[in-house]
Amino acid sequence: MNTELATEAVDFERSVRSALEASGGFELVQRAETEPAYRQSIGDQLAALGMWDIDARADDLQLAAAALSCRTAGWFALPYPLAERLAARQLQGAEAVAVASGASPRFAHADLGLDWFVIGLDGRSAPVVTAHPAVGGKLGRFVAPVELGAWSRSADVAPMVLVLQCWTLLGMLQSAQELTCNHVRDRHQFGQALAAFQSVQFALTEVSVATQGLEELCKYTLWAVRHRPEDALTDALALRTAALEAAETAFRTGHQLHGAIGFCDETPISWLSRYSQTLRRLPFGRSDTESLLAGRISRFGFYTPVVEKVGE
Amino acid sequence: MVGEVRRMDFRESLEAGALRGELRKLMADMLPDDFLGAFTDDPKDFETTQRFCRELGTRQLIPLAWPPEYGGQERSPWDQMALREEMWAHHEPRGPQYMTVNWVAPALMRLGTDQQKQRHLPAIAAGDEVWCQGFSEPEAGSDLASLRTAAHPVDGGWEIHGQKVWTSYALLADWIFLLARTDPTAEKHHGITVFLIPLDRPGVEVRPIRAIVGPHHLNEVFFDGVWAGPEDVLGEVNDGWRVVRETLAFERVGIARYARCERLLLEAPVALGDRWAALPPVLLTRWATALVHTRQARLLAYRVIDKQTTGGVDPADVAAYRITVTRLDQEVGEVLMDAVQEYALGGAGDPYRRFVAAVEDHWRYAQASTVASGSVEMQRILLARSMNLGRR
Repeated sequence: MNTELATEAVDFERSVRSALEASGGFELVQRAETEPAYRQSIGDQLAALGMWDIDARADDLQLAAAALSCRTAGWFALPYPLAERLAARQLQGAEAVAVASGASPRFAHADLGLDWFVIGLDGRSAPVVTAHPAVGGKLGRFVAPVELGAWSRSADVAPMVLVLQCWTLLGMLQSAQELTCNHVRDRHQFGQALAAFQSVQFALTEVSVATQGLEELCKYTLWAVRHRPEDALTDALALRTAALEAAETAFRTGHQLHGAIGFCDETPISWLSRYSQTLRRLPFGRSDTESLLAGRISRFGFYTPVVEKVGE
Repeated sequence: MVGEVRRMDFRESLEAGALRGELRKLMADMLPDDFLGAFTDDPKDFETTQRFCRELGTRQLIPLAWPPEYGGQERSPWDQMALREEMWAHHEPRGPQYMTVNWVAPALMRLGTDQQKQRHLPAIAAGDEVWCQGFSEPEAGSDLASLRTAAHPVDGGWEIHGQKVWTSYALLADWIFLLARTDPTAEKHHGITVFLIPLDRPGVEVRPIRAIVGPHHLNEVFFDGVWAGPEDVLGEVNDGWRVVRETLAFERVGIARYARCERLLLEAPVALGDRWAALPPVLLTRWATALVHTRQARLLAYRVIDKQTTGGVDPADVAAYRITVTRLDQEVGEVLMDAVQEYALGGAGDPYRRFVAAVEDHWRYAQASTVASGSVEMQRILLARSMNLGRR
């Protein structure tokens, strides 16, 4: 057993992070908010890094590179559908995929001019035939409604896109954790750094435990969607359950410990918190995710080496 | 290894899988259906674990990881993990022996004299010798170095006076791994010595403490002029703190609490049948979420084991795992108690008796999980330090 990601993939992530930092880091999302078309040039930058050469289904190394790239995109709240594009390789004719349901769903970056397909949890897909302009809400700046063509059975890529989105969220949470730790070390009150107060330390250990547990589950689930495909959807929903739970812990603590400055657009935690919302509410929120998971486990069981599989 | 490319891989080895199979068959053959471990009011349960240990001993499965010179198989940390998971999932049929194997024996191998090794290791490997841990005192809990039990020098050795408390399994054990202060003038973490004392030595008295966790988990051990000779010292005199730090490092991930949680959670729908089907949906989502948390706890343990194999265990990783798994124990206790509800209170007419007894036992024992073996607060302090928060 080996729980570590391949070093080549980790090196690739490092190069992606350096490139995004050099391009402005958090300034990318700030610029895209005032200039939505700027997202296209972010796609071009990712292309220059060789991102669209990655075939996440081809082998473990490319899969790890895809996941770690998503984590780095999350680190900067990158306003681009990276996970959705990396997961789309398996679906004929698709440039990007989003999990959704209903006749007129909506999702982030649908307006970006890509050949989008919507994926159901039942292994069916439908092409997006019309993408409307983004709704532009404070918490969903790039969420856009779409019209769909006919649904048909297709490659089952829902688990993959859900997993890669969780890697994006993981990056957001780890970034929020680092920002918050830096803030409490720098900010002094009552003659000492906030980090010297045990209540502050303990709050941040809660975040650390949540993100560490999520990271290990991200790694396992990434491996499992490829090597235990029969359980892929259950495993992806389990990961999403953990990710949404950890997100509440990390962002609530991040906001609280930043104090009022954390609500301001001059602090990255505010951008991370806002841009995490599309991942956390779409295609379904925490309660729906848990409910779907409970249904899946009840029917199909939950893999563990300790107990023989139970369920249907 | 030069040229070796490591790829993330969560598959269990064939050897570990085969070990699980052998252990499950053995447990099915040797344990009664309603077995809930050694620590019950029925002495037959302890006898069952003793028989089971001796059987493990004949199969060389107690000293699984030990080097061959001590009768072990030198199996990998992953095989040890499989053993720990199977044992804990099935209510630890080794009884108190797990503690002896996990850290007492490794400490003896590392620091014991030839005579001490010869005296104890074969007996432990055969499942014939049980130990308890003489660490905590009324005034020394998390702050262990404040211990006051004292060993005064006398002609040819020491005379020990003092009291230990919360000592698990002391009534079942043959020996105690005892910490005592040998130099009262030394600074707090110095002047402490480890003594290996048989519990039938004159002056030792064990008194059980009745508690919510059940029998045998908590005892007081009194030392009233107990004699100890140089042959009873483990390591160097006055160097006991270092011995303890090194010793407890062997226990990295401790018991595999998540394994029992997982087994109980997955057994619940089968054991409760129609009752399970009638439970409110909100309880099912709590159940599913608890299963996710068990998987996370397992993976945090595996991270520690993996780093152990490559030599780079970070105490913060261990702390994160322990915080996760001890809380999980209590979460699972609450979820399952909510599922069995009033049946957990006892009384006649319980159609789910065997499963309810397991849930009730789990809930009671889980109350101690965030306190025992280093409280969750101590783990948070360790983790905070590793995050560069507060003092280093």
